[in-house]
Amino acid sequence: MQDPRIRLVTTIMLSIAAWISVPGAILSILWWLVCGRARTSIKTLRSLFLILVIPAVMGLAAVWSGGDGLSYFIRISAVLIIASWMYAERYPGELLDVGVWFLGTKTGFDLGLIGELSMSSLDTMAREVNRISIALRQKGTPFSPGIIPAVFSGILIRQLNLAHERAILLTLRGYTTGGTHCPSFTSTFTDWLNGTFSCTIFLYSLITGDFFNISGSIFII
Amino acid sequence: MTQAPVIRLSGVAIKKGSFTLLADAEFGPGIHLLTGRVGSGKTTLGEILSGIAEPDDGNVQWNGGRRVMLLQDASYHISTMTVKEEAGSWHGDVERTIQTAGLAGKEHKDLLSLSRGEVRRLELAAILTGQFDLIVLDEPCAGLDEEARAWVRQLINSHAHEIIIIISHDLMSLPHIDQLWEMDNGVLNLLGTVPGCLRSWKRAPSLIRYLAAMGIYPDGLSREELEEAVCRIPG
Repeated sequence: MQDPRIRLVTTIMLSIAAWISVPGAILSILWWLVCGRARTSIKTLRSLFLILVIPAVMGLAAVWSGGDGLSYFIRISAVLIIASWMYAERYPGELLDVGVWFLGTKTGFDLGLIGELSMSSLDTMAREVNRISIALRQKGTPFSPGIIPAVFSGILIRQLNLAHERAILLTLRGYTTGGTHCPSFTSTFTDWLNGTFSCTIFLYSLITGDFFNISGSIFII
Repeated sequence: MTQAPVIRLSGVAIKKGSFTLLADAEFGPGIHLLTGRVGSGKTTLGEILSGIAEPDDGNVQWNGGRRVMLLQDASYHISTMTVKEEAGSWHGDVERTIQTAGLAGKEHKDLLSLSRGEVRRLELAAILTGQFDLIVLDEPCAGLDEEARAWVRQLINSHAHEIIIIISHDLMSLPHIDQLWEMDNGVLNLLGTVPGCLRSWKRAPSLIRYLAAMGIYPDGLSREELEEAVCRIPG
């Protein structure tokens, strides 16, 4: 999906749809398989396992305490899949584009810039984790809870240094608030079609789910 | 008697977008300098040699041992909190590592309180006193002061029985170099044995070119050898 505005709306629609009902979650996963071409930023089975292990544990805890843990696991997994699709589809600068388009060159620019800096920090962290795992493997240090404080402190300090360097750079370039940016977007017919499908799934999930059914009283029919 | 390690690259190719790296080479024990322009593929080759990146084509063969270490940012290797623990985490001689790094008396210091140079010295000491057959050092002197650079040169010079590959742009901080390699637009070329190959080094750094224009050729690429060559400039 080339247009980040449609992608953002699609992500919001599908995430809400997946969260409020199991049919919505299943349809969101189907949307991801067909319209999203099953793109994901999760590259390995190990990463998939690490991402799903917390919802799985929470789901089991819900089952143990008498709740519907399976429903929780399916819904949260669908939300995570849609998030991974959005992350895989993004390109550098799109948050600034959307921010300025939506909220203008002051607030929009600032929010877009914060988003871009955060995303690039996530990329840097992912690269660092990869590099650290290589370094530790070559060193012959297996992963254990004991190495977490040292590894985590290193990542944190490097991130703080990076943030400090960026702050200096922005100051030197005269940044105070807002900025000039001319966003441009490419919207294809497929983007609109897939976006419309996501809205349909959202509406279907809203109707079939118990979103309006609170404490046995139906709010809207 | 153990066999001296040799690493052979046969028809190695790796493609990254429009860039293609090609390498046919054999690295034996000694100190190798890998040079070339920024973006010419030196770091990628270092990753292939150290087994981090897999070539798309060709193969990497080992004769004798295959314990590999790639020195990246020194802080990536840290897995403990104190100097002594960190030296111990390399499974080598703890005391020797600390002594070599010049950190005696700081054994119980928190690694976070050390300077970047001290952390780099500790990791370099652990690597160079450790049991590795191939050591790839990507810009080993980056961020170090002159005293620490001299220490790195001295330490590397005393480990020529392993395969040490130095990737560097910094000509003024090199130890004694045995063989010179150049990456040219993704193609690895062996320029030859130092100092013989210095006369035919087409993309030599400005200092070497300047010396050559004066009819002077250094006996090697180490800091000391370059200083000696500069002293031969007439007048």
